[in-house]
Amino acid sequence: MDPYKVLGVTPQTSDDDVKRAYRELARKYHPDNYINNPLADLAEARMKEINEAYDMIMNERAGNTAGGASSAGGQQQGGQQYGGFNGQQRAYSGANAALYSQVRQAINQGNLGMAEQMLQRAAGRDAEWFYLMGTVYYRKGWYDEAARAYTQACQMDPSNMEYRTALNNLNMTGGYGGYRPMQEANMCDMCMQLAICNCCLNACCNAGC
Amino acid sequence: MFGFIRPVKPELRVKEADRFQQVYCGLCHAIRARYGRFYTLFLSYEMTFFALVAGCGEQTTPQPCRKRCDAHPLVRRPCAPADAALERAADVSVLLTYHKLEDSRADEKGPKRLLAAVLCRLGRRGYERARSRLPEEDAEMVEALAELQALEREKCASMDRAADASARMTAAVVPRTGDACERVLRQMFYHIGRWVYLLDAAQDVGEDLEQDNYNPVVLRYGLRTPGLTEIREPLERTLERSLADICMAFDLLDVRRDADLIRNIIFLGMPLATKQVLDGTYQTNGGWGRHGSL
Repeated sequence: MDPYKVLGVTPQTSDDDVKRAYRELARKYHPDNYINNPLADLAEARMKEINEAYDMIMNERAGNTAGGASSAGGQQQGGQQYGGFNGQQRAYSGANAALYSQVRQAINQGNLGMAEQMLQRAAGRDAEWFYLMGTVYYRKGWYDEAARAYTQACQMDPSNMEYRTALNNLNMTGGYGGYRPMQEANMCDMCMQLAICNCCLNACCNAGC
Repeated sequence: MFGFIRPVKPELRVKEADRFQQVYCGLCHAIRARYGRFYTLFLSYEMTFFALVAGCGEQTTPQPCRKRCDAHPLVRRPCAPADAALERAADVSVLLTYHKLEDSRADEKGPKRLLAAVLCRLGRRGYERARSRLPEEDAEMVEALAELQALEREKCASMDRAADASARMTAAVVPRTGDACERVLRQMFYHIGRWVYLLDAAQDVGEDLEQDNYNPVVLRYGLRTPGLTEIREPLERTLERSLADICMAFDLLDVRRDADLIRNIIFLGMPLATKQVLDGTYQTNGGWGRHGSL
């Protein structure tokens, strides 16, 4: 691995610029951006590569090739598996207790077909059922169905923080450091309006002066 | 397929705009060489985009060659020479075009249906040649299309379920390499398919209400009037999620050529099309009518 290539810099790049390049990439591939994304493992691998490249360059430049890795810019890897979804057994009770823990396990293993099948078999549909179903939809990229299921879960159990966080994540109010395409398109529009205002103002002022 | 996927020209560098035109023309020539003139009539920006993405792993961009064509008989226009990516794009665009025609033959009424039937007949031979080249891809598309038609018949009110069938059809275009790249491209083209399907449905709300056609957006939100203002926010949110997934998948690709051009299409062109459709200004901005030049 050529660490410079990974970060897209050259051996001549200054420390500050290397750091900037590293930060930019780390922001892009941060596990938080890939929560519930089927490509989370690939992003994680890329993140690891970037961290290693940064450490290698910084160690090399500090002159201690022997190692003693600096904790790459204070970035923390997501410790949870694929970020976000809490795979641990919750203290379930009630008719579907055993089923729900199995469903969580299946979702964590990425076996969405099985999780969905098990949920269809469940007796009765409570808030947890809608939450788990929403997560299955989320992972499949069925975002409209996921939003409906999460909303239903929140309505049935308004005090549950896990449901609320999931709905917020889906609506991108939090934990979505990556990319907001529509906002950029709308921003473009705003810039245009500002530019036009500016032109008008200039025209007025010039006419006045 | 339609014309939602295109670059935003004012933001392109001149060489990138040239390259886009060359790939567009190169794809047209590749289709003509492999399947004859008929299928070049259905050339689309979507497939140009696919050709760019399918070839983005190559190290070098070959010199363009100059060729005449039916649309430009007098001047020789620079074209990207046929390579593996363009040939693949030609093959899958024939498959998709034929299935689209078959779908219209099943859905439409009156003269449109007749037209589709005639076009299907004319395209049959080309389709069979493409199918013999890419049998697995075709089988996947046939299966997804059958599911989509069944969902349309039963007036499925779930946007995601209908979009899923359409998206799987689009995802079938990805080359079967069996590695991480295939996974990334599948995820990317699944969400491109989902986005195109939903955006197209949003664009057609007025027409479908008038003619009482199946439209997943109308059924999902129980629309009675063609305005999108009330449902704009949830619709934009769900489309934006797909756009974000496309971007995040693209970031994981190992792109060696045409990176800026592809980025322009994904990061600027697709959000702009979304905004225009939701604002109802898509047609006034040219719609998908203009072919050939951007």
